[in-house]
Amino acid sequence: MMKHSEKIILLVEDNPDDELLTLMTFRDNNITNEVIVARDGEEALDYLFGTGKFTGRDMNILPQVILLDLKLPKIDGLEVLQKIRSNLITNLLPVVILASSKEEIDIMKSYQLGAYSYIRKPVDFEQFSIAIKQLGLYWLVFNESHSGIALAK
Amino acid sequence: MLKYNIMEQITEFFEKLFSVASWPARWCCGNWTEFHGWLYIVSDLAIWAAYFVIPILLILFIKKKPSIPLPTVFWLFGAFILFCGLTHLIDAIIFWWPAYRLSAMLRFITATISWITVVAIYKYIPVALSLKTTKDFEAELLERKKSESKFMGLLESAPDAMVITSSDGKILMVNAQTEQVFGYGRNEIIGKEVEILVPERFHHEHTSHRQGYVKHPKVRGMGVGMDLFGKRKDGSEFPVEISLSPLKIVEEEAIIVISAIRDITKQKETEAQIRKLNENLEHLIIERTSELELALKKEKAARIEMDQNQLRLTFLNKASNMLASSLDYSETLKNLANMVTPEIADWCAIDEVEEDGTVMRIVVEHVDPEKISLAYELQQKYPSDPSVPGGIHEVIRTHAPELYPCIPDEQLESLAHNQEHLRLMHELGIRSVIIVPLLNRDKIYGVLTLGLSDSGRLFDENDLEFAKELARRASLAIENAKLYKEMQDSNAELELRVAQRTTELEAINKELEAFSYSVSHDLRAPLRSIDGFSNKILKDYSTLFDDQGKDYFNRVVIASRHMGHLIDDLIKLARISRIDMNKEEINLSAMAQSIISELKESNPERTANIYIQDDMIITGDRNLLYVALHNLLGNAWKYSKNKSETVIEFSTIQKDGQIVYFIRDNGAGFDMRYVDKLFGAFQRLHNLSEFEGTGIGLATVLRIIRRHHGTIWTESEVDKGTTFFFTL
Repeated sequence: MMKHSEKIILLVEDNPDDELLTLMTFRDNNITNEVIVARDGEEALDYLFGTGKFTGRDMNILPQVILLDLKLPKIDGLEVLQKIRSNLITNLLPVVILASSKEEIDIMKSYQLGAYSYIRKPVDFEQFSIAIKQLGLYWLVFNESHSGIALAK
Repeated sequence: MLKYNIMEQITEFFEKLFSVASWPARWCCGNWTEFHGWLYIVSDLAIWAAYFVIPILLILFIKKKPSIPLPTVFWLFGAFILFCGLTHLIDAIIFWWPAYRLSAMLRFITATISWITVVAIYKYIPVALSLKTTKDFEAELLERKKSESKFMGLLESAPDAMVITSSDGKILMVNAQTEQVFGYGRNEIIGKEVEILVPERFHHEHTSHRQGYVKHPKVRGMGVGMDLFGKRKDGSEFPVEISLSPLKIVEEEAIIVISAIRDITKQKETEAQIRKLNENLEHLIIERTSELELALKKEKAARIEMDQNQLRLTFLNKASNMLASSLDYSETLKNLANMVTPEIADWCAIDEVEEDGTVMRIVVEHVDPEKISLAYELQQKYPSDPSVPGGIHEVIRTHAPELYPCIPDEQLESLAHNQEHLRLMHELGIRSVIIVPLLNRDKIYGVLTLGLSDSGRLFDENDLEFAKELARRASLAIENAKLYKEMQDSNAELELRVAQRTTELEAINKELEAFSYSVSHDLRAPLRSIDGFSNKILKDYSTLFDDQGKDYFNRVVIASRHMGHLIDDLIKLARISRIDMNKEEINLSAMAQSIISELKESNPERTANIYIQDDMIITGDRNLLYVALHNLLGNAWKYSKNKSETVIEFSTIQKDGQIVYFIRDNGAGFDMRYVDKLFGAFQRLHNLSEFEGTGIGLATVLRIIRRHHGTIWTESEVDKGTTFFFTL
């Protein structure tokens, strides 16, 4: 349990409904990892770099996976991704884009910036639930033994 | 006897020549008988008498016959006989008068003459031997007569009048022709001077010529190169041709002249006739020559004109090229004036008519560059008076070209305001002038004035025509330049507007993109909430609701999902109009086959009869056409799902020379009354419970076809099926 709880999921989502639905989906699929929710891009970066309201947090703790929405207040998802990739501490963290857009340009830019995966949030909740479940299984369960650094290899 | 020496004896002899003192008369010497003595005396006297008569007879003979040969011998012989007779006489006288000395003297003279005669005779023997005898003469005479008659015959039969004259010009003989030609009987003229046959006015000349001829006789024509005339008895004259030949008469030591005279009246007439003919001919030749010369002149003039025309044409072409080369028309007109000046005119001026009607001289050219300023000076100091008839103002008013072939000095004087004005005009050289308007569709741009100074050349109608043509082309060039400028202006405006619109459109496009982006994001998020929480309620709180409540929640879920599809399709539709076309060759048949296979896989339970024509190959955007075909075939598939057998045909027909593609199904069809709604977005002709769909598919197809510059239309019948036709 400790292990699991150590593996933090950073959810960057400004829509409270989506946040709740995502958390509910985690719970339904027995994903019990600690989920840190950042409600805009700035907050996400503050958390990752220990700045702003997260100043002084234990920087040894890094999220196992970052679920990143693209359309975010203040700093949008792609910019957040770019900053994550340009920082030595965070540049190897797996980032999965969770977006409502299916625009090619968004998909392309995301991958260019080093997103590990791109999931389009479907309207159909059931499908969304399936997607989240697979995601959690992959990153949190099946790849449990892998550290971020190992993954980067 | 011998007591005297010889000289004394001679002297005494001649002193006592007639002395009879020392001598007795013969009667007294010897014994003369009467008889003896008288016989002697009488015989001597008889001899003397005879010897006296003989010389007289000889002299008479010689006198009578001057042609006697050897007259000297005759004379000597006569003298010899006479002296012989005298010796005999003195012998008889001595019988009474003993003049023995005289007798001796006589005898001496007689002896001397005798010997002279002997010598003479001796000397003349050969001559005497050659002298013909009478017989000879007779024979000769006969011969002569024969040859004479032959000669006479020839003479008579000669075709010309033959006149034989002596060396002193007396007519000796004439022939019958002469009588006939001259009208004289021969007896009338023989012995007369030949001048009787010559007109009086030539007598003097003829006589001297005749005498000259006798001195240097030879056969020749008479008066060569001169017109000779004969005179008839009746005084009339006629032209003759005469040839002369001298004839030497041996016996007479003289020449006679034979003249052959030919009446050449006929010949002269003929000659005159020939001359006249020649003259006529010559006249004709001269006439023809002058005609020919005229024709040549005309031809030359025509050639010159042609050359000139050619030159002008070349010039016009050159001018046209020049005129077309620039769109700055004031520059063009300056070039034109420059071109015209040395080649066509001595000077050239172009005046422009402004919009308000004022006339402005824009260019002047002159062969003598120094005189250009003169022209401006003239124009400035003495601007042409619009009220005076003629000149540029008249041309501007009437639009009619003017030609002043030759302006006389008086006219210039009458036009001049003062002496200086006149001087300026003279210096500029205003002798021949053409003024043509620069016109285009009755709008006058200006006037072109061409001038010639006193160079000897003058303008004519041809020059006017040429100037008109030149002006026409220049006007066209001006019009073109103006139009071009207008067009450029309006083009620039248009471009500005296009740029504005483009910017606007780009802004709108951006807005649209932002809109569709936000639609895809923002509209979907609430749907997710609706769907997600409804789902959650149904799952986690289903015990709280009865079946009806559950049904309501289900409806909420279905509706939100449908709306999700609508949004997705809408985004697709927007994208179709936006994305760039990428044209390539596409095999529609293959593409349709793959779509049909996909459709069959999705409903493997259905029986289907599908016909797709082979190798329908077109050029277009692969992605877009795929979407269109997918929609159309998908519709055909979808709307025929209730048939026991689905029949779909994708093929082509020819219509108006164009390939028309069609996709036909045997599906539900629709009422053609609603055909207008068919291609509108969100327009549906069937309800969702019958056939699912968002009503955006055909709107998408229409846009794709239109982007390929094609058209699409449909035919349908309820329950029979639908056919979509399209062109690409």
